[in-house]
Amino acid sequence: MNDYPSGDIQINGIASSNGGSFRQVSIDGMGTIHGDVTCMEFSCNGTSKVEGNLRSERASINGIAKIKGAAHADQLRIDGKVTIQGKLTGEDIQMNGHIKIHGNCEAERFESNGIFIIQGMLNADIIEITAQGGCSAHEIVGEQITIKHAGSQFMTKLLGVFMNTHVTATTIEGDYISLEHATATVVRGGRISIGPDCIIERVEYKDELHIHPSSKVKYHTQI
Amino acid sequence: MEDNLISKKDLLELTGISYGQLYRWKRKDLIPEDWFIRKSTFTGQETFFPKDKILDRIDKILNLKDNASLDDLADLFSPNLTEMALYSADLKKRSIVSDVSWQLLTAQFGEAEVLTYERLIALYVLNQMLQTGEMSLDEGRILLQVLNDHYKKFDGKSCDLIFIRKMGVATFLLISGSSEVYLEDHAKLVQRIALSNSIEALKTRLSE
Repeated sequence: MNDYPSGDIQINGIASSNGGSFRQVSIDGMGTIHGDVTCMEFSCNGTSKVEGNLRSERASINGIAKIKGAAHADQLRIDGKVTIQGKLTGEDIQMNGHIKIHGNCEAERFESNGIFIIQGMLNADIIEITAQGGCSAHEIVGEQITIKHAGSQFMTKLLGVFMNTHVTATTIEGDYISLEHATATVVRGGRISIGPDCIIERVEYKDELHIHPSSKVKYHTQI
Repeated sequence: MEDNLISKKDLLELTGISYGQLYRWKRKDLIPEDWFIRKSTFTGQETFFPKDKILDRIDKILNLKDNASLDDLADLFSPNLTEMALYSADLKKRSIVSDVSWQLLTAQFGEAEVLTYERLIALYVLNQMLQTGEMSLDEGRILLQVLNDHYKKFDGKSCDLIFIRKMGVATFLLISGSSEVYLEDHAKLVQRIALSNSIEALKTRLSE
């Protein structure tokens, strides 16, 4: 992964290119890349489309991006709207905005401020979610999981009447879990703190459990 | 197969590892995706693992992780054919395989100075089977031919080698990993080897 050819792709305006291996890929405007692309740095300002897999050491996406295959970036920063058809893997993923992943999402650190829809499993050492609206993942697993809700209580409640503003998952499992405004079938872990406005069917904990009085937990047990 | 599953909860309790560790190892491909078996239970969905395999693997990881990085361990456990090739002389010197199996290989495919990884695995499995004493040299030839012709088709996916004998006639099968096989009454399943285990063992021997 260390040697890259010296070639770059630079798109200013509207253009498309074939895939391949590059040092730097930068798209300002509208760009389409046909095929897999491997690069050291991927940056997109505007609209981009990768019709294959994306692999990059550093990637930053400002604007709209669509990736047809899987994406891997050691460091990924998203400000905008991204759709990934495959899975997303990386070391450090930071995102502000809207992200939709059809596969799994795996990282060492996953930080999200916005809305995400992950159809597979979200698996990271440290997961920090500040939800701005309805987020969902099939499973959320990791060591340290923090789910918070942005914005005022009042607005959340008001919006909540019309649409789901919760973070929804079937299973949430981790060693340290702290939740707010979350809906889950099962929450399992070591130390669990369930903050305001959660709806959880079953909690299984090992060391410690706190439940906020405004949350609904149907059943909880110490294992 | 049903009895040999262990739930995630029991596994963590038994081995004393944390969720964080388990999922970190999964991310690093130390634990293959297809060992995570999802089943619905009365409490909702639960994840189960093949008990013997996962306990063995976790034991290995825990023993090795102080001396090797997680990425090195991932290479060790991966069933993929690596780009590795070995000099025949080197292999002989280290006496990883017996002379008999060595002769069988050269008789079949000719003398070669460099052994490809696939051939190396075939040789190692042959040696393993011969040592059990349940396979004759003639049958060894069939084994080599089977591995040579078909092993590549699995393309790095885990597969098992099955050795069946019926009324003295031997045959070999290669099937994808952990699928179930049923035989008629007269046929005898002499041996079933998970090739990924052999590869692991071989890699350990080579890295010594």
